[in-house]
Amino acid sequence: MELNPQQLVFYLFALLTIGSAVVVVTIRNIVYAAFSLMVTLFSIAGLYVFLQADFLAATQVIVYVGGILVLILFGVMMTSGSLDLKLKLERGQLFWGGVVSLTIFGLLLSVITNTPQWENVDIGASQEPTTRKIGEMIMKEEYLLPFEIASILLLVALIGAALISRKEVRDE
Amino acid sequence: MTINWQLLMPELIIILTFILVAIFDLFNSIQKTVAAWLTIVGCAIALYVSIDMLQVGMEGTEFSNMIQVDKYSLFFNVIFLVSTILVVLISMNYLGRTDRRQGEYYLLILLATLGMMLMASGNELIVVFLGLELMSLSLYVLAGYFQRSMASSEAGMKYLLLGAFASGFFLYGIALIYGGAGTTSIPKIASAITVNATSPLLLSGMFLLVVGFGFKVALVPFHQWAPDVYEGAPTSIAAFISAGPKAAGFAAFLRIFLEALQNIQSEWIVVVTILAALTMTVGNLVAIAQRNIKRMLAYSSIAHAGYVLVGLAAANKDGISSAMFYLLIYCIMNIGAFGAVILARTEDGESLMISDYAGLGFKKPLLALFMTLMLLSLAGFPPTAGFVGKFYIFRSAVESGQIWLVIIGAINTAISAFYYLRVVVAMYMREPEEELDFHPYPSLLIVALTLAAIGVVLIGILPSYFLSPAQISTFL
Amino acid sequence: MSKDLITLLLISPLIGFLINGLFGKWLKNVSGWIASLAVLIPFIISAFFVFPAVRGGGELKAMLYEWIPIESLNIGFHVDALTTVMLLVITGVGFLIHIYSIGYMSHDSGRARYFAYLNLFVFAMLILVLGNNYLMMFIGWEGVGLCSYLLIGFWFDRKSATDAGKKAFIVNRIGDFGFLLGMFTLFAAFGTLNFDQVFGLAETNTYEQVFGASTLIVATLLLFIGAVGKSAQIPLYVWLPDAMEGPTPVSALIHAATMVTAGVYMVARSSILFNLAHTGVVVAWIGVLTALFAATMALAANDIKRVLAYSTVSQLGYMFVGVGVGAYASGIFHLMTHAFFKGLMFLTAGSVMHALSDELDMRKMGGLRSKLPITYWTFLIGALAIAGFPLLSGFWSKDEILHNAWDSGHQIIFGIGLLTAFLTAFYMFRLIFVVFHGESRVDSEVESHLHESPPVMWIPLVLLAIPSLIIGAIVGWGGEHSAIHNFLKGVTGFVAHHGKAEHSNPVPFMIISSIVGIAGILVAWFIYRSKTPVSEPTNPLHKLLANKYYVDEIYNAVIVQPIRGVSHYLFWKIMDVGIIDGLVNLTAFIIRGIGGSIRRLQTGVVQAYVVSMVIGIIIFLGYYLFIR
Repeated sequence: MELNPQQLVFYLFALLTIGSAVVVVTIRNIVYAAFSLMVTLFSIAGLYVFLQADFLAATQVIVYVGGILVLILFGVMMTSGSLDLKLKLERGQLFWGGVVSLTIFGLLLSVITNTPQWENVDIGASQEPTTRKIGEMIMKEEYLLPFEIASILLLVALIGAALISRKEVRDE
Repeated sequence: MTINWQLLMPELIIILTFILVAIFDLFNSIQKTVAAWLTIVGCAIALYVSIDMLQVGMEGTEFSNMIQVDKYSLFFNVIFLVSTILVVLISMNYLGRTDRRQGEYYLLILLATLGMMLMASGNELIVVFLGLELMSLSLYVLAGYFQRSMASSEAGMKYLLLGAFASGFFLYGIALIYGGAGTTSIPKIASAITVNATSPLLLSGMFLLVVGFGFKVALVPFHQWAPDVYEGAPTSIAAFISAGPKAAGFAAFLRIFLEALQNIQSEWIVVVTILAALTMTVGNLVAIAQRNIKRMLAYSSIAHAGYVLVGLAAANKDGISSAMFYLLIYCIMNIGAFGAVILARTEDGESLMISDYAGLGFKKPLLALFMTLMLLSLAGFPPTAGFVGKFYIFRSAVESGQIWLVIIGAINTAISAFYYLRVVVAMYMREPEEELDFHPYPSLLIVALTLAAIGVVLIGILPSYFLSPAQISTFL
Repeated sequence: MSKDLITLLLISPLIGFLINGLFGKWLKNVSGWIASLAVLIPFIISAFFVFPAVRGGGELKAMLYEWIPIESLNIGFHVDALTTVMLLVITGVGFLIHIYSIGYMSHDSGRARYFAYLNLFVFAMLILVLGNNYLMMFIGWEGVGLCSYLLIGFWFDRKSATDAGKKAFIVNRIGDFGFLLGMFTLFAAFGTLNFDQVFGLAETNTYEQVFGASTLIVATLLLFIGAVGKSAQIPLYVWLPDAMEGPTPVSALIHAATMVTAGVYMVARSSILFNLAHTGVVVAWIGVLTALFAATMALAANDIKRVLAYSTVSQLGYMFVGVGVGAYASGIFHLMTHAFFKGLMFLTAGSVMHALSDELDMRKMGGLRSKLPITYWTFLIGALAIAGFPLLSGFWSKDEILHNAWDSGHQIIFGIGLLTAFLTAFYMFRLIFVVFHGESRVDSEVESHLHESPPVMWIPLVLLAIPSLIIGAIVGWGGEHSAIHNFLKGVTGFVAHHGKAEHSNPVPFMIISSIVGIAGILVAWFIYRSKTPVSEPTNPLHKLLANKYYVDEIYNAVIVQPIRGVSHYLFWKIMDVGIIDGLVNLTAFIIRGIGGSIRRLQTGVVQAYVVSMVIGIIIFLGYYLFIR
């Protein structure tokens, strides 16, 4: 099987995604786990590039790698003592988790292999950036409403976070 | 792009109420109960508008077919708003005047209600999903509202973890359906799927949607969060979670499966039938073994999801309308039952063990009366609403030939009478084991329970007044 | 028009119930008048609007509202001649008893509650007779049972009263269960419970043969079990004598005039089914045996209300003989006359009690004739009526039943009936002579304030005495061409006479039953004219009768105790403690088991939940991908 450079890079990213994800769930040191999660998220951004989803790739890097991951690391570091925390993984958990995950994986794999025919979507030869199109769809066309709902969703998250972190105060 | 705002009036009113409550909540000088009253007023106006639109028959799509406002969604709006109003009424005395975080409590309830309304009117899987998340996220936080109580925090955490897991499956299901049909719009999916299409992508996508909804409405085997969350969450929130969100889950469930996926009906009817039978049976059997009344009501609400699912398994017009009708009844009587639990508060907190209810029939006659009425209705005794609800559900299933499912349902109804009546028997025929010091009756709770009781009796006696709106509101 | 009429007729007692139930606390003495008005209105409607409309063989039908779109489950009403008779009896006698109650209950603090229950009872009874299907009848049936239970136990601070209430409730449950099963059988066979439809299908023989050819036999016998319970026939009569613990007007209304006759009404209503199934003979035999059995027990009873209670059971037996031998109109005729004279006698008994500070024991009465003249004379009229004294109301109806029993070929039933008629006359006049004649045995303290009842009580007595005297002659004169037969012809003609079209001459029967009745009176006069009744029974037969054949004791030993044992051991020890607790423990054990392998309860369970969810997903996905 010949691999052209494009495919070679694709498999590299795929391998990185899966490999680092395995590290996330198996490694005992929480800081290492957080850093390998960064690798996972970053390689996913790479996979997006292969799908010609340039906007999505950039967003992935900015939001997940740049934002969420940094937040996780902050959280880990600011929680005293958690740096030394050794994540435990019991054999029972590993066994059941493994069996269940592998079975689900096998089933989903068979969904892919059993699908007789894949719809090929023509994305057009012109490799023009998707940002404009996405922007128009969200702000002008059909996806305006979901976009607005998503903003309310974030508001809920905000209120919820504030409520949970706020001390239960009662007037005397 | 012009938008017909009239079509979205109920949603807009809820959002406006949300903003008002949020503003009022800023001022510490204003009593916190104002938030609750604002919520009630806002929901009542939205309810009035929804009923008015339902009577006028206002229908239409908006936002490029993202939202489908029709009688179906408006009928569900009525269910959600009635539940929300009842829940706010039972919450006010429960939270007490002194809790300063109440503003957020009602804000989240409002947003959850908005999420439910979007689920019922969503014409697009993405909107349904976003509505689902909006609702769920609010509920996760509300379940953990009592921070000082370990049980409440644990309930919130568990609900969040398991809910996120289920949402993952749901989203994956949407992705697979998109892969199979090339669209996420419900009417477009319907036309994209040919009759008896058997692409594994579609089938597994379809099933993963079942999983997502199954979790939200607590179908066996996706139900295990329910008893833990109901038990740990504040009782008013347990009532809320058991009512509106379940109805919302079914609203989207019914619409997606009977509209978008109607051409592969023969495929999903198998799983729906099995899940319905399983849910009714497991829910009722495990409920018998419960000693804690909140857990018992949790399993009972699982079993009731099974009854509603029978309506989906019937897969005809009557099935939909009877499921809608049943959900209306179920919300009222279940909130009533939880309200009666709140009513039975002692100095040490709530009396949650069924043995605590012994002898209440004579010590607290009003409480016992409410509780008995709600439990009889849940058990489906005529002439309560629960009976007519079950009657129509089972009749629709008989019409579509699901005889076995109806037989299982009937057996389950008989089983369920056992544990419902056990509480009634304890209240009226047992001597109390220890003297419990009960709180005096809070007035608003009594109002809520009276409303629920009137609803249960009225629907039981005059079912056609409530059923016929459901019958003309199906989308089929 | 008919719908509005029936609605008004029906809801008027309901409104009375609500007013007295909700605002009774503030109504004081007015509550009784409101309750009476609530029954007077339906009486006026029945007498002046319904009766003329139905008279010419017409029927009123009204669908009040659709409950569930299955016709028999709807609240529909149907008024025909049979219903009209019942309506007049219920509201007419009921109204007088309500008026009487105003005086009788004037010193009771719970009178608002009492009148509320009484109105509710009338409402339920109206539903029972007005419904156009068996389900409505059943709802009314249960409703009157509930009210009866509440009113028997009205003085709930008396243990004997609550016990009697419970007994009535439980014994009636047995009968109701039979009714329910009968109703299920009918529904399975006909697919409807609507009277018109059921009878129409039964006559054309187009129904599902649930129990093969004997479907109708099973259905009618099950229904009859219901009637046996409600109308206190063998073997379920035991609750009625105890039901006398309730206030006396209640005994008059519920346990003499109306509710207990519901069974007779039901059999008459189902006459077509009983005719087709030929099960009337069972009804007649149960009826006549009950009549005799109860009459013998009345011979030895010393409690004035119990004598009347046994007499009621006995007279109900007569009615069942009537409907059993196919003479439905005669049975209903007797129902009507009995409602008047037995209601009258209970009210006079109440008047006696009222005068004697609630004394019930006949041995402590005597010589009351001069002290309570109105009570005496009205009671005498009632007793003469029930004894079958010529030309009084009971004479006509009872004679017709016996005559029809003979004509339909049941000579033995006729014989037993005649014997019972003799016993009836005897025990009634035993009561009269002991209570009203002879020496006074009243306590001196009680005697000092012995007084006749107030007008509000004695006027109803007089108003009931008049129909007891003459109603039989008015509507019963002329045998099968009499007014009552013409009126009821459309509903319950002489259908099943076993092929006998010819009627024998009624005059000999009238003469025989007159002689028997008068003989009973004379024998009682000879024995009790001056003799004081013995305080304790000495001879074994008397002892057996005084102890009511020990039936209560036998039921207690054979049925109550074993059930109590079984329920204790089976339901409590095994079901509740064994199975339920076992389930609880098992669940805990399983959760602990899972916890052992995965982690402790707090965090472990979430993973366990996820695993179970995913296993569910795997099974169904596997099904869709590989098995389907």
